[in-house]
Amino acid sequence: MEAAAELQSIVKTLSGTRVLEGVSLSLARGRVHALVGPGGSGKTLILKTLCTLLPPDDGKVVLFGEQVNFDDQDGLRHLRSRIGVQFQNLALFDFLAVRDNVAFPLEAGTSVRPKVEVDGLVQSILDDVRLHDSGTLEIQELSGGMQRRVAVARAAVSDADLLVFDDPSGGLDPVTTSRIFALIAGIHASRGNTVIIVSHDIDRLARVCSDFHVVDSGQVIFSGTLADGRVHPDMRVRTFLDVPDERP
Amino acid sequence: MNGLRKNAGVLRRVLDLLDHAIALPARPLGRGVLHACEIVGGMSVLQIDILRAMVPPSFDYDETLSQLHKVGVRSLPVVTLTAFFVGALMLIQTGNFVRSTGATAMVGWATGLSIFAEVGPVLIGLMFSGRVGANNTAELGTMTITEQVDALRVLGIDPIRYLVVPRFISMILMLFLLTCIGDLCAIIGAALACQAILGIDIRVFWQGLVQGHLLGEFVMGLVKGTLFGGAVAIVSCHWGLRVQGGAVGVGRSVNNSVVTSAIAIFVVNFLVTTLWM
Amino acid sequence: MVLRTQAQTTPGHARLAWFRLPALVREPLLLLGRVVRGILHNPPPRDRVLTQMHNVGIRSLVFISITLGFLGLILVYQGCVQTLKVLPDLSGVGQVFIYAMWRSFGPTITALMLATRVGAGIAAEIGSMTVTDQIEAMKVANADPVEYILGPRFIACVVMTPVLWVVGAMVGIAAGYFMGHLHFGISTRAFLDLSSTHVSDVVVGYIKAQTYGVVIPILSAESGFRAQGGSEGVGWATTRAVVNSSFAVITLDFLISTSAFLLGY
Repeated sequence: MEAAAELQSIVKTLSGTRVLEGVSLSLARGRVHALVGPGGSGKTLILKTLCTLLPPDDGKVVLFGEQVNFDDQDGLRHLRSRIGVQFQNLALFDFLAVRDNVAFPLEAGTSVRPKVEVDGLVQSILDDVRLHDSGTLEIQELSGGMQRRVAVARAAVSDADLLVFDDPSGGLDPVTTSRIFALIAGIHASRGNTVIIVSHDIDRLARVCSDFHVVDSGQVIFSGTLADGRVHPDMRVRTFLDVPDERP
Repeated sequence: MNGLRKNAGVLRRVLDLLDHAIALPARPLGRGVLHACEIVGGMSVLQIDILRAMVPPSFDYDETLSQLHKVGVRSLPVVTLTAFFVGALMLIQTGNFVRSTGATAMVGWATGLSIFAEVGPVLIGLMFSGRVGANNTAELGTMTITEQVDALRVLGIDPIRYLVVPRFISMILMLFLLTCIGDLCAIIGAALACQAILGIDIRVFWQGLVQGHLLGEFVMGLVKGTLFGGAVAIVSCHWGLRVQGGAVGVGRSVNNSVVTSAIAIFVVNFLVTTLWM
Repeated sequence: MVLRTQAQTTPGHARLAWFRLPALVREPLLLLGRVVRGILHNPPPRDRVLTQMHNVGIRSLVFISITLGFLGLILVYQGCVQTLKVLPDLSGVGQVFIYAMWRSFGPTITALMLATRVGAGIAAEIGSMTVTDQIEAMKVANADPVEYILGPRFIACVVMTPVLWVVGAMVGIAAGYFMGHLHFGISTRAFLDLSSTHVSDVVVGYIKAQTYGVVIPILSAESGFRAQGGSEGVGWATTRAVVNSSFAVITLDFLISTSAFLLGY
């Protein structure tokens, strides 16, 4: 199957430390991928490289079939309009209300959309995350779970081809977590775009994701299905993926 | 009866209107005054706490030593450079008058006076507040929002004695020393500018400076420096310890800290000069 | 962080030309170029510019008035006390004071106050947006953070700094007048004597104020964009903004005053 995004032996050094040591990762189009691994293993950096925010020192980034040239600002702009991101620490704009935060990817930049269309899209995604009557609230007025849902909505609003979720359930209670994963699954089911999720919640990932990628100390050490991972010869892969399967 | 009621209605409407007209500027004004009182009150309480911790002296000596080092090292380069330029600047300001009146003998006296008495201490104090005061607020603010200050309290350590008093002492001592050094640098800057830009011999400048009998002004400048040090310390600790709300809160507190310090410096400067002379 | 990536992405020949300038000067200049290009290419919406003008101008009024007011009081007080040591005649104090408020103390102290209030504010805002990834979120949404955040603030500072200079000088002169008139009994006519203040002095003052108005937002924003790590990064950026912009104000004051003096203005 054709890959929506591909990293080829990415190397990155930040302030003297090698944080990515030859990461190779291929994300098949139209599927939901999980990126798991211990804390500090480089998951967030891999996502930032995928979103063209972190130029690698060495290696190739291929998005939607073309190699990314990090010096070409117009090309980057074009690619970024096809990517939606939910950042690990949410990165919601604290100077904008909820509605304007969600509308930001539609209104900013070069794409000009009529206001009616923007309003329609924002309203429908806010309905999806069950925040339909919170559009006028300020970000600071929301609870942690609501803020995560706003961030998810902002990532998904522009109907991007590649959706990136960095820990969408971090620090949330189980009920809200389930709701957010169901939401992501719903978005994927209705649009068929490529999704990648970073999370520590293996059993919830198992319900949503078809492909698993395990990262350890700056390298992807396994790519495949969950069942394959659980019988993988590498101890690290097995321990990380081995949780009781709760599916009925 | 009916007419009376109608009149009462009109009266009420007029009163409402008046109420609005007064409330419009009065409300923000009142809020501002209350806010200022709150800040000044908070800082006074902090001042009393500091004094209580100092008499009899019971505070952390190691922390004081490390603060003295940090405060001095951090601010020395920027203060000396600023003072150097300020000295040259003061000289150029007198240059226009020298050119129009030809009173070259006045240069040394006028420049020395403005540096020692007013401009030197104030500008050094402002730079100090920007470098050390802001940094101090940021540091204490980060400790506050990461609950390190609460952790100290739980361990039975008084944050005033452990964190605030050492900073208070080192800022006072260091700004006193920095004012001495800064005055010297400013005079050097002025002397060099005198020769290079005005083309007046350094000896003429020096003579004017020495014959001006500026010892009183110099001492007053040092007193100002000492008081500014105390003011910056109290203001920056006050804002640092009441940070709320994460990284955004730290930034806002640092901003408030430098603004309050600047006001404090100008007010203290005014009081010292008028009481001294 | 942002600026470093920008420097990496500038074409090779442009980088070579800038190479000799130290980073302390080069990066603000690059940022200035980007924000000016951004504003010309895509002017920010009027309401955002007006909001920032309100923030920079109106909300600094009280602070500028207090500090410049005390400055006026003290300058006149010192001037009178020192003059009385030599001469019994105080009629010259007013004109020299007014001259200094327009040409030297007025613009410089106003700018130092703006560096502490507005500069630190810009750095704190941009710094906290940088450490919470809001800047990166903007980039992914294809909004240029320099254009979007700095643009309106830059315009506001460029427009409002000269305005605040005028206000500050007026407040300072008014305060000085009260001190001179009420405490030392200088007559109104003798105090408000404009014979020492020439058009060239006001022009030099304006040039200073305008230059500071360009430099303060750029240096402060540069610090903000470089913030790293959590709240410590924000504190670091804010401190750096105050120090760098204050120091730049004093250095530029020196340069402009010297050039004006040497050119005979």
